[in-house]
Amino acid sequence: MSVIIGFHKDFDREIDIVQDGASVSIQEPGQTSETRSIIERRDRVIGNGPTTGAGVFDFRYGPFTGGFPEAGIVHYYTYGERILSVEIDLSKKHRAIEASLAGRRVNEAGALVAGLCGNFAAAHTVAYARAVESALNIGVPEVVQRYRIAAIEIERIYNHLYVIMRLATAAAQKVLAAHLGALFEETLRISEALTGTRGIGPAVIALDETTQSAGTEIAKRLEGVLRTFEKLHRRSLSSRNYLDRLHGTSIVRAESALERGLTGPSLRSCGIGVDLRSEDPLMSDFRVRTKAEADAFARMETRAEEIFDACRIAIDQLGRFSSENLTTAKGSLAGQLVRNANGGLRRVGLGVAESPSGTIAWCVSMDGGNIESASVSTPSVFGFQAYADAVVGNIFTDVPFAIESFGVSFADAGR
Amino acid sequence: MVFWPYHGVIQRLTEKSVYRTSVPVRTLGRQFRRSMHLFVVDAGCDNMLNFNIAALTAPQYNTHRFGIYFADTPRHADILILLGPPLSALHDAVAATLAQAPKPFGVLLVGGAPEMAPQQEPVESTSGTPQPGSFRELIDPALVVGFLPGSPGPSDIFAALLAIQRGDDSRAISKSRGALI
Amino acid sequence: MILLVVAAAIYVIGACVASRLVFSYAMASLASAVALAAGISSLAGHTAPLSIHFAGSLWVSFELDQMSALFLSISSLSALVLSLFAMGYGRLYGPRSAAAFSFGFAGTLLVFAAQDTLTFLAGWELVTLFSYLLMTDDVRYRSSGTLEPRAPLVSAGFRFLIFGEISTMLLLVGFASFYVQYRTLSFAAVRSAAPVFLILTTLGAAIKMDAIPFHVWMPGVYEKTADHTSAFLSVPVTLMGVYALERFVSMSAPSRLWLMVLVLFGSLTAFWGALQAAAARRLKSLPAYSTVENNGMIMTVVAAAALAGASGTKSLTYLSTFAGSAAAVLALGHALAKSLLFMSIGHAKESLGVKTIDETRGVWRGVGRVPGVGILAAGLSLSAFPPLLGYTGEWMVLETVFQSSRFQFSGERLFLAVAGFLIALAIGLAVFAMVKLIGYTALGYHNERVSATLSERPMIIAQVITILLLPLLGIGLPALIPLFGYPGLFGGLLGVPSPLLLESGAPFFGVVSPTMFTAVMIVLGAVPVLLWWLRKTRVRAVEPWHGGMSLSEKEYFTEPAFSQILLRMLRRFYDTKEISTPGSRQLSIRDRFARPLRSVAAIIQRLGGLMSRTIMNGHPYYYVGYILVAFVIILLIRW
Repeated sequence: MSVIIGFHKDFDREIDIVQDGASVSIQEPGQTSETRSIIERRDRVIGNGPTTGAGVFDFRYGPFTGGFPEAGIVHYYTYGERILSVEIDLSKKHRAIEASLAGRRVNEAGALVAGLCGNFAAAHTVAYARAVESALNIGVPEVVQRYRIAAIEIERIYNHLYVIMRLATAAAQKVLAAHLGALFEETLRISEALTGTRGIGPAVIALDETTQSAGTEIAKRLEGVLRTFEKLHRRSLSSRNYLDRLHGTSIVRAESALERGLTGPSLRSCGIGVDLRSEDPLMSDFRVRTKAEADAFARMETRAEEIFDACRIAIDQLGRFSSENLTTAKGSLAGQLVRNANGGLRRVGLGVAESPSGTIAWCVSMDGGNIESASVSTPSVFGFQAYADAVVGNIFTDVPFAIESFGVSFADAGR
Repeated sequence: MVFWPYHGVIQRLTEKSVYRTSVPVRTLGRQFRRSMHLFVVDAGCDNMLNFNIAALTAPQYNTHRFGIYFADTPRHADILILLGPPLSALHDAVAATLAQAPKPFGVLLVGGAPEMAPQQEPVESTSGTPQPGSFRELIDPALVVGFLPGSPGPSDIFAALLAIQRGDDSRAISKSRGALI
Repeated sequence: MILLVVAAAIYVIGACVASRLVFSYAMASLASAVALAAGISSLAGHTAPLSIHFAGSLWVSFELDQMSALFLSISSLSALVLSLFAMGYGRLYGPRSAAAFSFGFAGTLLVFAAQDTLTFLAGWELVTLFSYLLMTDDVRYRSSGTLEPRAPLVSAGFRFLIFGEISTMLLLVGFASFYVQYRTLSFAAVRSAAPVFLILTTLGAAIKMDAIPFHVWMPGVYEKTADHTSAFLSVPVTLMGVYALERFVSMSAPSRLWLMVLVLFGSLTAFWGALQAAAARRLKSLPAYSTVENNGMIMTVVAAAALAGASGTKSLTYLSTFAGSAAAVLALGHALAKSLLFMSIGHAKESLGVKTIDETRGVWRGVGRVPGVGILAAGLSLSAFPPLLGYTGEWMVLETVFQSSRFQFSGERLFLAVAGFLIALAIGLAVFAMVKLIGYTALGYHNERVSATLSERPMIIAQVITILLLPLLGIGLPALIPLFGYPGLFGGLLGVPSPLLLESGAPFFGVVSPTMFTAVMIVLGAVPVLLWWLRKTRVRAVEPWHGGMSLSEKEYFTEPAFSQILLRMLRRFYDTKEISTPGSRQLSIRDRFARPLRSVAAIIQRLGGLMSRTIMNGHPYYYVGYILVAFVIILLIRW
């Protein structure tokens, strides 16, 4: 079914960004969708609205807490143990980055895009690059595409490791969390080796930075991460306490989640196999991973399986190019950018990427070589909404497991 | 089957690096040499700094061997780590948080552009008013113990913390209440 | 005795000048002081009976023996502080309240001093009637002085009257059986009345003591009446019931079975009262149910004392004295703490204009220091915090039931053990209830609210007196308990000098000494307090940490949220249900006794209406007929 995941103002016309299964497209406005109200409120407060009643109060969690590292406010309405409804205030980290892109040159804007959400920087910059390339009709060499896939998959690995590490810490599995932390740090160093920065940044858009390390060294380290994580994951499933905390916690209702714009492993753990990577011709043997129970455990399991897949995909892609190819290809990209950007033409382009938590879609309107306006659809907005719907009826001790299992961040939702 | 206690012990993940910082820090004396508690305040960063701080808890760094722990509330904190660049929407909340920390404490500023550093005397920018969203109007320079602009990794943050903790002048550029830049 | 007559006279004068409110309540305080003096002097040994001869074999007698003097003193002490309080608080209510207040206390004097059944019943009925008048007074002024329109409390007051009349009826029939047995109306020196007398009169007393299931009228009435009225209903009126219980138990031959039933009945009452108190949401319901709990404990101890006295062994005789003194301490502790609680709550409630516990926050800062400390002290005493009076009282109850193994019959032991289990649960639930009350009212956030100034001098003085009395009397128990008429309970052991140590059993069972406890705490605490006073560190006051923003009013942790875990765990007792409408959810509970007894009361009301319409129908011919029938019956009886 098709779901509106964002709006864009292309010069003087309004357009909708619509996702239908694994394909995302631009459409004329007019389609009804439950996500419309969510998107309209995403700079303020989303959720399921307040609850009244004798004894019901608003348990405000935030902005600065010991439990959740980011600055955002979650209002839990409760008359005791059970959560009756949730409102999430996304306004605190709203930095109006989309608005600040207007009038900038492509590369300058790219640096700002990377600063939207540091842990999704690869997915954001790749989606943005694809949008610009689609608008300016730039042909991307295969080696750059493979490099981008590898970067996104490594980002997926460390994000999923972070989620599982946080779930383990919440369940007091400190040894597991420590081992996962070591893998997490190792993966961040691998990404630094690949792109020159820990958070994979603007290097993917064909700028001045170039990769340093050879692919085989990185592939070997990834292999080590894969083996270690396989052992850790198998071991973690033998802890009944860990499983018990995750089973049955914050169950997502599949149909309404899909209608409300949820994407990524959170949706795939409900049995709905939507993954933008299945449309990628360069990942021919890609298997969409799904689970059926839609609870926190299913989300954790989906992420674990995606870590295995991501390691293998990244190793495979890295084996198909060398750093010399990449330098040449980037030069070609830079040249096309200069050529196609001139002419004062008005063009619109859409670019998508499957981030660790779901669909990222950038829509840019170009005026010659400058960005006239840009809009982004981030997965954390819908992820927070799905969290608000799923955690109703749970008790407070389940909250860390619920919120960490969605893998969302206020920086990503606040844009 | 792996015997996990043995497996964990033989990993030897903790690195024996020496962490050196090139950033000037102000020390708070020698009182935190054995134990220093940190409280992280996200004043508007893009979440990569949060991930780097999460990475700092990894066994490779093993902050506990230096007595560096993370606290859950500012009332237990010796050093408040402010992750920026700071947003005006969080201005009041950050000020309220700083008021909660018991003296003596220091504030470590992380992130943001270099020109956002606090000065002893307020510096007028070209437009005549302090730059909005910078650390300058948010914090009293006397509280600041260090400023790490950009997006420093865990080793850089760790090095700055160790320099503050060691409390000796060999790593500090200036112990007096002078400018940090 | 002459003092008592003077006191009664002053009460009547005070009632007659009820239009001058402050003067009327001042008269009531004076009368209470005189009555207190009468009681204390009688306790100290100066008794003088008084009999008034009417005609033939009809005479009434008054005497203050030990038991009467004890209850009179306790009741008068409470009356004194309540009247002082009413001097300031009473201007919110009308002259009818003031008159009924004074007359009601005069009625209690009659009850305590009565030595024959007729006087006793007259006083009993007077108190019931004046309580009804007090609670149905619909004149109410706002603190600004304007009259506030209110609907009179007719149906809830009527329910109270129904239960009051049932208790009078039971007493009447009991006294009739007493006459049949002894051919006299006088109580003097009666020690072995028949079991039917015991059963009927103790049931009547239990109704007045608000035992379950006869407590159902309470919450509706307490919430809507003035606080000095609620205090009156809670303290002197139930004290009357306790006195009746003790008096008639002491007058009867010990019927083992019935006394065992009373033990269990009292403990069930205590448990149920504490259970409902823990779930109470409104400010006045919580103390109301706490009264039920306390009276239940008193019933258990009185019955246990009688059971112990029935057998002849030395240890049980000691236990009987001990249990009797426990009842006295509990009654005194409850009287003072409950009066103080109602006074302070009333002060806070009227200043802030609120009804629920949730709305009354921060009395300490928002209303005044004295009501804040009053709620704290009263709540702590009712949760058995040393060295307050309530602590020793509840310790004594538990010690009494713990010594169940001393009894010879296994039935007695079983009943006492079950009673102990229920009372321990009750005490736990009562602590929960009091912590909730103190935490939310005295100590909670005060929201920067502005309260109406109600700090009249007499209100403050009354509360301060009671605040001071609670610990002082608790510490002074070694002097008090022998004064009450229970000698030989104190000794010395393990470094505690005699006679400061209260011993609960002979041979040795358990000991407590609030006096010594206080002395030790003062000595041990002197140095730390001194060091704290002389400290050099500067303290900086900041707001509590709430994530960087201050708490707004709708973010405060509410009182129903505090209780909900209890309501959920004990949902079978409370019949907890969730009421949910779109956008709104809350929990509801009910007192399981309320509905069946309300239907009983409704049936009685309808029957009464039917009877009044058919029999007392206002037609003169019917009344002539009644006179004729009565004439015929009297003739037949005389013949």
